[in-house]
Amino acid sequence: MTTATIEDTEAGLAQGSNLHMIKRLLGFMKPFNTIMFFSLVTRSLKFIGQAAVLGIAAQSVGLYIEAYEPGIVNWSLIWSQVGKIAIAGTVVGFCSYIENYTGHYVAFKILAAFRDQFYFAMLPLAPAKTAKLQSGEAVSRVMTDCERIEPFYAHTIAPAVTAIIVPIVILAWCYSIEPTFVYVLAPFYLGTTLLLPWLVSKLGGDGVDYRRQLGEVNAFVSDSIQGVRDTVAFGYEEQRAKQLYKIGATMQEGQEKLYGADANQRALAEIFITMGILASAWWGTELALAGKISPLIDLPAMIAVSVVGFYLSVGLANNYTDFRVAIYAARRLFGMMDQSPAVEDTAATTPVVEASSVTFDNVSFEYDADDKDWSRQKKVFDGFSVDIQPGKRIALVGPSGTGKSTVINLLLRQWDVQSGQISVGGHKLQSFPLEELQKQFAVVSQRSFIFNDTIHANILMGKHDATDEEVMAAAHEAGLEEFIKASPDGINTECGERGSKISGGQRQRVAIARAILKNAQIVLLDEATSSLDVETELSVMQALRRLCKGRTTLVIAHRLSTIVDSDEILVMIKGKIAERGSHSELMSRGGWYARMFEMQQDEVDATLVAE
Amino acid sequence: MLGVDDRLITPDTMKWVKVGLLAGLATVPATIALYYVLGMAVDSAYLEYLNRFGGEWAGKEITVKAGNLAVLYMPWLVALVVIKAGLSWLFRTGQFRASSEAKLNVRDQIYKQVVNLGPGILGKRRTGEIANTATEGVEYLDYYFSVYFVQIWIAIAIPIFLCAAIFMIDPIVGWWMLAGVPLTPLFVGSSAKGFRRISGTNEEVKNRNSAQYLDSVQGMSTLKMFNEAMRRGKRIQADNEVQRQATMKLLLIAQIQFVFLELGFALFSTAVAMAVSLYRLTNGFMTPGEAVAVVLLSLEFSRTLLLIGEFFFAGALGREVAASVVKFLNEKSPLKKTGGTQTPASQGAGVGVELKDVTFTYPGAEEPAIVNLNMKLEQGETVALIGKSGSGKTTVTNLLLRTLDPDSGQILYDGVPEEDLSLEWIREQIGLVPQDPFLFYGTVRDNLTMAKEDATDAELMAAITAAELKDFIDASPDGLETRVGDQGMALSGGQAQRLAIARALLKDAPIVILDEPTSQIDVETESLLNLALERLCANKTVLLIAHRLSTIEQADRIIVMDKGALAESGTKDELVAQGGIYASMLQTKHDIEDAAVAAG
Repeated sequence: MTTATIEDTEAGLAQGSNLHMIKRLLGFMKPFNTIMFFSLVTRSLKFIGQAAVLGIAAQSVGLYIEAYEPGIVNWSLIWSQVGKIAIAGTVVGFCSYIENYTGHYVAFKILAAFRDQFYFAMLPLAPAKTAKLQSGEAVSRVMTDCERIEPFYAHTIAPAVTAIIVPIVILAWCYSIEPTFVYVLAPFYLGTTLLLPWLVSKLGGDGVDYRRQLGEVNAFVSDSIQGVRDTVAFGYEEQRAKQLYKIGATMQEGQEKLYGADANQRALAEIFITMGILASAWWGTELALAGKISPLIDLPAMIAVSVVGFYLSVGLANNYTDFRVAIYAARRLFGMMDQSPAVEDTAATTPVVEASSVTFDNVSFEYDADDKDWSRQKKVFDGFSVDIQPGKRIALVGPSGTGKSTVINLLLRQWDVQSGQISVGGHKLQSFPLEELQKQFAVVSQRSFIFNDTIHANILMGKHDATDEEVMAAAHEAGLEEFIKASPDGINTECGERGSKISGGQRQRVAIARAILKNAQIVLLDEATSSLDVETELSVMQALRRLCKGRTTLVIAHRLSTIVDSDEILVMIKGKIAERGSHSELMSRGGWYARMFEMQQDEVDATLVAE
Repeated sequence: MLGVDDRLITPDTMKWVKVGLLAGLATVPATIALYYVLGMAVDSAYLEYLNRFGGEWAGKEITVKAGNLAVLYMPWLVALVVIKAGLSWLFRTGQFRASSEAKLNVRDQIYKQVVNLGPGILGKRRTGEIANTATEGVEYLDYYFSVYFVQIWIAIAIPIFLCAAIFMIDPIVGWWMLAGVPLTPLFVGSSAKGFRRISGTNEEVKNRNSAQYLDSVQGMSTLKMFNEAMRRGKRIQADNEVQRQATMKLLLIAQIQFVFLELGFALFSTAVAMAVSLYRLTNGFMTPGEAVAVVLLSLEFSRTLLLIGEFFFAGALGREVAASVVKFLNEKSPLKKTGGTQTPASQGAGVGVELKDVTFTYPGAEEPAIVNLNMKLEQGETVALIGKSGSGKTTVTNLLLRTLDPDSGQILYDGVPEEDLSLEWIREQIGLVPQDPFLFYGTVRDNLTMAKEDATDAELMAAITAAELKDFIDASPDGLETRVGDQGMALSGGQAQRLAIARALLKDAPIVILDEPTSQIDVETESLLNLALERLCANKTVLLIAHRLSTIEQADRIIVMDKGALAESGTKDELVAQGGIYASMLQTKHDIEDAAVAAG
């Protein structure tokens, strides 16, 4: 059998030691340091209060017996002790409340800060470095990662700090009664708070193996489920199920190390704690018998208080899993955020574009040439040149994967060429500030991204300060008027997630309206009508013609019948212009274009495809 | 015992859940013993203290030896330490094993159900969703099985054990402590209610914000093209802030209960334990050490709270996933009657298939996908099936593969009704070449041997040669071991198609269902493909889901489907003469051509 592997499971993770990650994560907390400090103080007070409650109760036995008269219940002492417990309990209550509130406060703040940071960090990277974020699932994973980091602040820092502060306070209190008690207790505290977590991280590893195996299993599971049609058709389902079980079981074996380390840690913690408690009883007794502390007041109180201390210290080791998950999530996020942008925005002044010509001069380009993990090791262009005159309507056709869309990606400067030059109106792309460059182009693509918002809001994207009249005019030109009139909500109709509530034709019209409103000099159409049926295509084409009128236009199309009237048709094959001319010229040449045109004439789908 | 669907739990899972649970339960008396020992240590020290410094204890007789208990009972205490450590280890191991067994089983169950429901019921979209549950979702079950199940019982057991122990020390104190036990469910109830209220509103807000965020990240390049990305980012930030503040205001009031609960706990467990113990001590029913032990034990009551908090929040997500898995497992197989055993020998060229009055409606759909369809494929005949997308072509394929059963009507293979035939036999009769073949992550060889597991290299190469893929394999340094990457992404559309043809050639089934490739998937070498297809279809019964006029014209017969029903059937000339859908389609094509030529 074959083992599915995901080669990039570990790719794109931020590197560096855990300590480095912790430092970086702590950096995010800076704006909330004060409130976090407050949270830590109240949390510590809460546990000190709890220790006090138990200590007061334990001490009461001795106090009571000191003033003991057989047979007579000393209610006044009982009530005064209950009163003390009530005071300590109230402190615990209020501190618990404040700690919870401030804890939530910090957690929510950090969560929001993380998401914002991520969004703004991605901005300069999109879309060249955000290929991983194309699916909704991937973005949800990012959001889950943000949520997984939250426990680092809520369940790692706070327990860590209190696990150190509270035992110190307890030790200090013990010291004030009898210094030598500290010498016995302190090593056990140190062991549980510091030694154990360290040991666990040594024994359990960082979980990288586990993550890798999990990635493999998940890839195999997804592949099996998504390929069910072909599996069933070939009667292969039982073998596949067996393989799936086997690969899962193999991973399970691999997890033993992680499991074992955790179980050992629990056992070890238990030994430390139980021995620590017994040791405090032993030395306490010795002290009492030496007359240094009272056997019924100090001894029970010291035992009780040290027990509370141990409860705390073990909590730290228990949260180690949370911590590990958080660090892993942080590595993933930082890994994405740390990428360097594909293009740099350095131009300060905007060149004046008089005529919107487009020139590619000896351009060589390869996607992600600088990134080993993503590089496809394949040059898209190797010395590609083309010249588009202002105001012309040019079509770009050819087999898929030959670089048609790359032409658009490069024009929009989503990527930079490795050599050669691209210019608009005679000015190098790099001489435009990125925002100004975007203003040169209006793009309508096959699946134009429609936001989960109203039609109005989606069109407004073309010009954020447009008046309602301008938006309506653009909608009208894009052929949306009838639809808007027929909808009860009119132009405020919700488009749904990725435009799912409106039809494919309406989606393209919204995208066209948006482009019209933008009023850019160069129009780029990337398979703008490919997903529509013939009738819809015809009417959308009319709207597109209005958009393109008087503007330099570059059309990428699959269905050749839609571009026959272009001023010029460029046939691109393997990154080069293989044929160039008008429809009739190309037809008479009998090359790729003529062959493809005839083949498409042969196809019936266009006349059959439904919406 | 676990209140969960049996299918999610295997005997192995159950075994480890029990191990974890027993170890967890045994930890409770061990902890109680430790606290009792501490109390006794105080008594022992007190007696020795009185011996050394004088004085007399007038209350209940102290039976423990005078001295330092930790020294006196050293071996017993060492045993206690070892037992506690061992139980802790076993508890954790049980939890881990249980969850890992459960995950293994759930993945297996999900896959079997995927096969059981089949591609007919599970569209492309749903398989993606299910794959997600089977991967990410299953990970959430971890906590559900390892923590939730075990912890809930331990949380119930702790107060019972504690009260029993205190009863043994002194029944009156025991009664008093018992009175405080209902506090726990009260706490859980009120915090659960508070949690639900907050998380309810929070969830809504969260979902709304998440949707907006998701939308913006996915649409980021569009936003950038319109120079809107910054503005939108700021808006999201502001929206989030408004909602965060609202949540915090809510929390400010909702969490005030913490004040009373913590105070209540201090008073009702520790203070009561202390006060009643002292009262009983006065009357000679308890020793000072016993009173100390009871006070220490009161701490254990609060541990229940910690536990409940832990599993309450952790369980919620796991429970959700478990519920969705169970819901999926409960879906009924689309096959009504299985268990047919006939495996007729083939009679000459191909196998004939007949659909008689077949009607089929997808579960949950209002309109039937197939309506009263009558259709016959004679042995060795090639039939072209055409129709708009959504007209039922794929459903016919799924019915023929018997991944769906008709609601009414019958499907016959060589005259035998499908329910009498073994399912394997039916699927052995069909070679499927889809338009978008699914190539599994792995090598070319892996993707071929699924058609014939024991195929020799010579057979593989023969199929590859017949599918016109030989040049590609020869040019690849790894040959048959060439990896085809994630869902075949390393191959071009045409190569993937030809690999699928090779797969079907290797299977050599008497019926071929072929979804003809179109120019959309870039058939750069159509002549090669046509050669390969000719070889595959020779002497077979062929159902050709056709997209090209030239191939449609070559078919023995043409069937036109419309809205799940048979609209037209006959030879090309018959259909043109009928002047129906086929004829009007030809007309539309001519119109477009004319328009194009005029424009050109």
